[in-house]
Amino acid sequence: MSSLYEKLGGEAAVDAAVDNFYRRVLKDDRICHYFDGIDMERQAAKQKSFLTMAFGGPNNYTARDMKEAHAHLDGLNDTHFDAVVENLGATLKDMGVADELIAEVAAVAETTRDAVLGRV
Amino acid sequence: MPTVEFEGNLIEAEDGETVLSALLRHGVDVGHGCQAGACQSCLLRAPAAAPPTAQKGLDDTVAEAGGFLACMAKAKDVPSATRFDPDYFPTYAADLVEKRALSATVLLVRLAVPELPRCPGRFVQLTGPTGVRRPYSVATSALDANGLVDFHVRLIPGGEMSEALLQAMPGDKFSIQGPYGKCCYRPGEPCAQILLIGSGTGLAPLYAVATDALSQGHTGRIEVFFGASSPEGLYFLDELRCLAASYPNLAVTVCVDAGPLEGQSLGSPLQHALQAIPDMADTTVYSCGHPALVKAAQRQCFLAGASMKRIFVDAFEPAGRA
Repeated sequence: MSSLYEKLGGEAAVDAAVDNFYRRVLKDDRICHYFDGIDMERQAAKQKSFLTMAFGGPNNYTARDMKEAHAHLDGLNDTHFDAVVENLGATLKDMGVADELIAEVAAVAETTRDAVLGRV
Repeated sequence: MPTVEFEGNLIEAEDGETVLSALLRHGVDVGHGCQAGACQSCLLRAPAAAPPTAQKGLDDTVAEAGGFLACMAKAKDVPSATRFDPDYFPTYAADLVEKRALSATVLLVRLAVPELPRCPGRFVQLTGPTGVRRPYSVATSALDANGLVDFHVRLIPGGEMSEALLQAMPGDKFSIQGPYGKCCYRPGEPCAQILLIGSGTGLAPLYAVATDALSQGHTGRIEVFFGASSPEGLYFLDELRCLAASYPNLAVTVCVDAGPLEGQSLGSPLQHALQAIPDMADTTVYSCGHPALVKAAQRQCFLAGASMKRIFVDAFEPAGRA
């Protein structure tokens, strides 16, 4: 059985998704203000880490890493988290990924919700 | 068992262990994040050869200086490593050959730097005879011909480098460290459209990228959008006109925020670029000059479809803020 990451196309799929996903995030009024004035290239590298994780690819992020990385974002709540997952789904749809795989990716992303929102 | 010499300590690693894992296991405090080669938090430097598999995704400059990602490198491939300190870049002796005014506020400075690797468009740290040190972008493309490098220096009244350069005479000794940055022409896609957006002396690296592309046989469109707040802030217009006349695939749009003269457009160079090229999906973008313009160009061109990997920017931050 191939893994979710392999089914999605591995690193090449992540590379193909990064620009699309980041562009969606920047255009999303619900969350784009969190990305104002930051180093865009560094942020793109972070988006790549996030997508690799959500695609079920190799990563070693812990709940603590997730919590610390988002701790400085004032007022971050479930609405923002939902917006990110929604954009992730839309990106995958653009790439022609099947709905059941998109649901699997969303489920992986979901496992980080409490850590990202500082509830652990 | 493989060992890694790190800052004078010999770190023993398990067979197959990564450099990062071995360092962390021995209590060495190095930055890290995803541990999968994506976030670039664990950047280190190998004074000898760095394993290319651990350099994927790094800037050319960083990779050339021996940078590598500790999480992606096996300890057996890295006999010694250090933290990544930008001061590791080599320094070259440079002699002042010529200086002349390009406008009331911009000075062309030509240095002989025979050892400097060819780096049109990238920037270096220039140290003058008085010890003052400032970053400047390389404005010349034909570096390999004679070891001469041109810089466009904005003269700032009372500015340390400006004063030093006004006093300097041909033959004076300078030094150059670098090159840094990613603003350089990348061969391999000779038909792709290139968009160059700049203001002030941000023109220097853009001119170098354009002429380098042309000298390497680039056949795709090269669109230059160059601006200043007023016509007095513009310079090098004859050279740009000359380039456009010689190469039918190159076009120049000169913009000012107020009081445009004949042949100049009103508005910012970014605004005109976005109007002229609404879909940038297949465009390579370079933007240099005023930080506000460059940051806006990076964002707007990305949103207009340019790939983040094909947007190269250099914001010219004023000196003395660090």
